[in-house]
Amino acid sequence: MDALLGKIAGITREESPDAADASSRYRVRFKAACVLPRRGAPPEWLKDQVLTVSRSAGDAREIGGPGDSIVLTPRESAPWLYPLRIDPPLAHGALPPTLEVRLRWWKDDKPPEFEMRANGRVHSAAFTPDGDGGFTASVPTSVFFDIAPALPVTFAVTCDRFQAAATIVPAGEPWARKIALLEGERYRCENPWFVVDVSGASHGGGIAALRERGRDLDHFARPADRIQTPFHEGGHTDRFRTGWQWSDKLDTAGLSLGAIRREGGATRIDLEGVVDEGQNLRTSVAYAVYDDLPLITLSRDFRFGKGKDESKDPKPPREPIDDLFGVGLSFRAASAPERNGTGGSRVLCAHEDRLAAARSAEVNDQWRFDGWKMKDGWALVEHPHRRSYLLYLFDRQTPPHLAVWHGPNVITLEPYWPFQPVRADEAVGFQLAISAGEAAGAMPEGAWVACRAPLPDGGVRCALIARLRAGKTEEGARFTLGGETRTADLRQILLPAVGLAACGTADFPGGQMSDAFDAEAGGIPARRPE
Amino acid sequence: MNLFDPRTFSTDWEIMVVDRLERCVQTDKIAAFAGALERDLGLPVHIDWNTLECAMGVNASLDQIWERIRTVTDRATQAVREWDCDLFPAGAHPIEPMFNASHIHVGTIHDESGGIHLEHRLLAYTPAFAALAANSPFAGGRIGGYKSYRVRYQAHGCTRPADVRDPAFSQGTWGFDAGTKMQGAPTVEVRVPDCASSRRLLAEMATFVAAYVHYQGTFKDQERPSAEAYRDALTNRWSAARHGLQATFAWKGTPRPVAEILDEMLDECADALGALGARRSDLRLVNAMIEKRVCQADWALGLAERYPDTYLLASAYSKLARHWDIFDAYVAEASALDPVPLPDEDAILAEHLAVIGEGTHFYRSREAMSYPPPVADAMVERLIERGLIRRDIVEQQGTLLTRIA
Repeated sequence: MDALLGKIAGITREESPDAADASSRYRVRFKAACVLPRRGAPPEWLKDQVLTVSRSAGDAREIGGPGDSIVLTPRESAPWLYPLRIDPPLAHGALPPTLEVRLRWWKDDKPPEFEMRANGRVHSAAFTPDGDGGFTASVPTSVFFDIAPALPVTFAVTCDRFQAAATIVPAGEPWARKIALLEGERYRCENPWFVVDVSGASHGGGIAALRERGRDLDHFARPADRIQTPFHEGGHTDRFRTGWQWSDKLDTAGLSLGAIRREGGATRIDLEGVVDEGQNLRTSVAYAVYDDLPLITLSRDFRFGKGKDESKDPKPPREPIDDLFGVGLSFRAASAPERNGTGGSRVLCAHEDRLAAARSAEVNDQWRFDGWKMKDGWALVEHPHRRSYLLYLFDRQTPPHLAVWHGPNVITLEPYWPFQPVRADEAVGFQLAISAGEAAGAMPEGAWVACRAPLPDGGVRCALIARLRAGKTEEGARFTLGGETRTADLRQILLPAVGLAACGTADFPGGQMSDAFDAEAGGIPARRPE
Repeated sequence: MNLFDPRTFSTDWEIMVVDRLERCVQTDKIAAFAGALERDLGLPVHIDWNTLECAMGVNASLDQIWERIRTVTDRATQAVREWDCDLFPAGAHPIEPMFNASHIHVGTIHDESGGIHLEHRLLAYTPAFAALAANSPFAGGRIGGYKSYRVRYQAHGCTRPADVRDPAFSQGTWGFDAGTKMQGAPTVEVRVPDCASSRRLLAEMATFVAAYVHYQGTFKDQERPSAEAYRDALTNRWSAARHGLQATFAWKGTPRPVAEILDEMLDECADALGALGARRSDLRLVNAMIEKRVCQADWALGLAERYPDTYLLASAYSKLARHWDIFDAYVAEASALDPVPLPDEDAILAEHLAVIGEGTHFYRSREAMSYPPPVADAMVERLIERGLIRRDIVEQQGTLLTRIA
């Protein structure tokens, strides 16, 4: 979460109503100086604005004085960083009768009018004070449509330099669209299994959220109201390096949309953009989110071009080695650890005839396994107490090494492939398949993740994605919901550049999402919290 | 006769510099401040990995080093403020991966072999100095597990328990908690103290440490510590890192609060203190800390209770620490803390168990309390015997340990 760092303009002590309170309250006036944690420029609308925040301290020196810095919490910062809100920002199935527009901060007592646009119509309106320092307005959606519109539709609000949007999407069918969230624009794809948010503005099109619809659980959820680097404590990002360190250029690389389209029972989101202008390094990422299975595939490419050389000076002699890039690739799946990192969460994969587990008991601890690769082509991230399981599949012929990182508030799976020589005008990349769910099994013979989702007309559909060694697929899958058990065949599906995966589904017409859920596949039982 | 002649001492105080965006200023810019201060003050002020390393020259008395500490820090504060920066004296940064020290150099020594024997005698006492100086209860996002994360994590390899050495088989070395350092200034360097946030405390602590090392320098025995004494010293080192001045040490076969040991050490080195122009009563902060068993980490931890977000904590922490005397006032007002019992066998096993997750390389057992191989291996065996962990020997990885829930 982002937060403001300001420079103090003045401090006044407030009278405390509680005489017994040893600390005192202070009103701190400040000007925004940067946005933490990346220390980016503050929003243009805060330029020269004097803002006020309240602080409690036993010793006023703890706050500082004029000219000093002051750090705000994300919650304190939100009205200034994201002044304009529209509620609901997203709705399913039908237009809400009204949309509530809130301006949480304005520089004086007279806020500007705002405009809402939809269906080619523009509606202007004025705010009224909300009694909490902000302003509010209610806009009937009927203003914009004479008949019920085909969905999705977007209502775009503009107020001075602020923008916000509400999107109304169809219920019960897959969709994908660019939407505006407080933390930025996202390419959202939604189907019966998942809500997937892909970041277009930064992190090279990483996955910011992977929400399981049935349980409304985001497997990449980040802690609220704590200052943190985007994606650091939750999310999927891809990485490359041309030296010791993973490049941070992808963190700030915004990708533009190549296409959102529906094809072959899946929704595709293709993004592409420039990572390094001078080096002429471009990247693209293509997601396919499957309709019928809890499955996402990701294809990442890095294309190295010839770097710009505009110098007219005589060129020094070059050898072929001068045009070589040594490129290493990786991805990083970050999620919140359970039990503060001392237990619970772990990463699993097969290593020959044993199930390898990586769970550091200490924080700020990185484990890299240089001596062997994940030849079975899978890794499972397990958070057993909240029943969150992430299964990553990758090519068995060119598998990565396992690496994990355990931070104070995060556990990561960050496999890495060995360096490879790359020439200008060549591309390198990798493909992944990702599944997530609430039950999982893992043994040296394979791993699976099972997920469930409510059916539109009642009941529950269960599905399972597995990667199994030869011969295990024939053992099929078994789902148990409430007291009812169903078996299902496991069918093999070929995922391009990832290889064979197995999948199975079963419907429980009388099932409920509140029923206890269990599964098994390939003779591999579900894992249980210890 | 004393190993040290003349009796001198100094400190290298590693102080972070932060700007008004709360960034830690980097080495390339700090070098400019260091150079300016060195020219102005005639003292060897340098840099050490993103800190201003304020070396206080060669001192012969408490008054002299106190005056220099004030002069250097006042001038340094002014120098960095011209660039809208502040000094941030703390043992670690709540967010950044930085561990900072107040190394204390004790001189003047010319007998390296004698210094190596002295290292053995100091093994028992350096944990007491660590407890007194504990001031890193936050480090890189970790909060409150130790009062000195810096000592627990060996300052990224920059302060390590000393080996037991034989002068006949020794090479030059570096980085011990306390060790002979003849390469530059001929001194015994006590590296274990965390960076002080209070300049008065630093002056007192440097004088006390120097006097105590001088006092130990009067003994000529060449006895090597027993394996048991070495283990006790390491247990005590861990206790100091964990509990600061609340620690209880394993001391000559019995549990003893470190505050009592420090109290005794202060009396033992009274003559040596006198040689440095000080009486015990001059060390008012040290005396008060020992009496109340509070250290700088206790003050900082109080702040952390009010700022769970590490960015807000770092902001408040740096603003208070720059005043130099916040801790002095805290000690005066603080309530006394109780000693924490000596870790028994179960507690020691629990600490070794705590570093074992799933698939943990067995070498982590060495890091838990810095025990040498036979002791750490025995801990692993006991954990296995008790059914608390499992051991797997895996080709291409070695020996892995897994906690059994």
